[in-house]
Amino acid sequence: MEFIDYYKTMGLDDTATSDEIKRAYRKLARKYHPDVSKETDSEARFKELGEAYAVLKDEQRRREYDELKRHRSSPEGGFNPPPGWQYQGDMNPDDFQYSTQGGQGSAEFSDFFEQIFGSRYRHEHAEHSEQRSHIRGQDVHTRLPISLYDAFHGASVEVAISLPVVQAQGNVGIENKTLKVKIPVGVVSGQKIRLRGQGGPSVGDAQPGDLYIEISIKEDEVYHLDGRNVTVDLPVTPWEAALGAVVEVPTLDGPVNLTVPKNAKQGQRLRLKGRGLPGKPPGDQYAVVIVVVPEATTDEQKALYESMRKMWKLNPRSTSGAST
Amino acid sequence: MKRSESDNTIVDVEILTTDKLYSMAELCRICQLNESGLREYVEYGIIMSETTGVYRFSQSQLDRLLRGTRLQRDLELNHAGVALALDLLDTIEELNRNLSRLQR
Repeated sequence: MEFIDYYKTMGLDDTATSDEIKRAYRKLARKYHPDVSKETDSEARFKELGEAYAVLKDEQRRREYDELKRHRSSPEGGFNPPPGWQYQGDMNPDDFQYSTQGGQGSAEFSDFFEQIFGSRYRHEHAEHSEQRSHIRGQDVHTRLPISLYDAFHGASVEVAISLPVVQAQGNVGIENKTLKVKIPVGVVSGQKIRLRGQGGPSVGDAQPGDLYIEISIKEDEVYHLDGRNVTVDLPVTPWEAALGAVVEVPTLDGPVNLTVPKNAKQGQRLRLKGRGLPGKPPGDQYAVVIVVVPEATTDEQKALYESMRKMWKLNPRSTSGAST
Repeated sequence: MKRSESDNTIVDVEILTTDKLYSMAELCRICQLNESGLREYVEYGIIMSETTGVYRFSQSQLDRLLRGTRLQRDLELNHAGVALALDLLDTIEELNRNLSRLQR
């Protein structure tokens, strides 16, 4: 088991005062809160932070943690608590309520935390959650990033969820589960799907909770998504743009031929009707004309550009008032 | 016998249409709030009912409330703070969308 340096997690020295700990927590919580942060690992960071703060903010817990830290077996290697180690302090379950995307206020902890404080925490939490005989399982909410390709074609995607589980002795534990979910064709970002009965298990005869999944479609390198419409860049040569051409364009359903109109302009959006994400109505695909200017390297090429210059006498800056 | 992959795939998924409306009781259960707690969110304009009279809330209001309750607990915000944070986050999201469209 890895020893977790909670001070390092919070960017603090071992000698930090309780005020400094509180300040550091507040600052980092704002930064890494999964509802605020755009960083992909914000959820994990926020979880680590919550765990670190739960230990360091409480004087007794901190004292015992410091004690363990001094006696850790080796700085580099694994960690095992001393034989007979038993955390003696109080555990208030409310101290450990912080959010994860997996649920409202159901905290998960590292193995390290479980080993040091876990048994005591679970015991107290069990008393806290009272003796009710039939309780409907919790609804669990999670977010699922899928690729644009999967959104278009539909796919079976694995979803990792953490479910709050009430165990035989009334202890509340966390069960990590992986479900394979069939993503319906044509979902869009922000769409929610419900899996009945796949949320938290119930106690007694009550119904299990439901699992709600919010779909988010990941950014794609080729396709830019806006609702059900997709946009791709369409690089063309100046002669294709001027003379018109039939060119191949990628679509989510495979490449198609597209007619570039004569005298197509830079930035012009060509529509491929119904080639976006499926739906009622389906989205469209747009190909944005990007004129690629060929470099003149040989004398012959330079001469050609020179003759174009004479032929057009074009000043594209004339609208902005420039004379040359 | 080898189980095929599709055996353990859950296919019974329900697409939640965005026009489903939630009652106060449903919202309270999902967000683990009591009724007066929920009313406070309404009074601060953090979430808005789609209807007058009996409250009915849309999916987007539910999402907003879930986000709001998480922020409130984790960052020790008051209701006014939650309202401000959510409004600012919406604005940032919109600006980012515009920005990424313009950068293309």
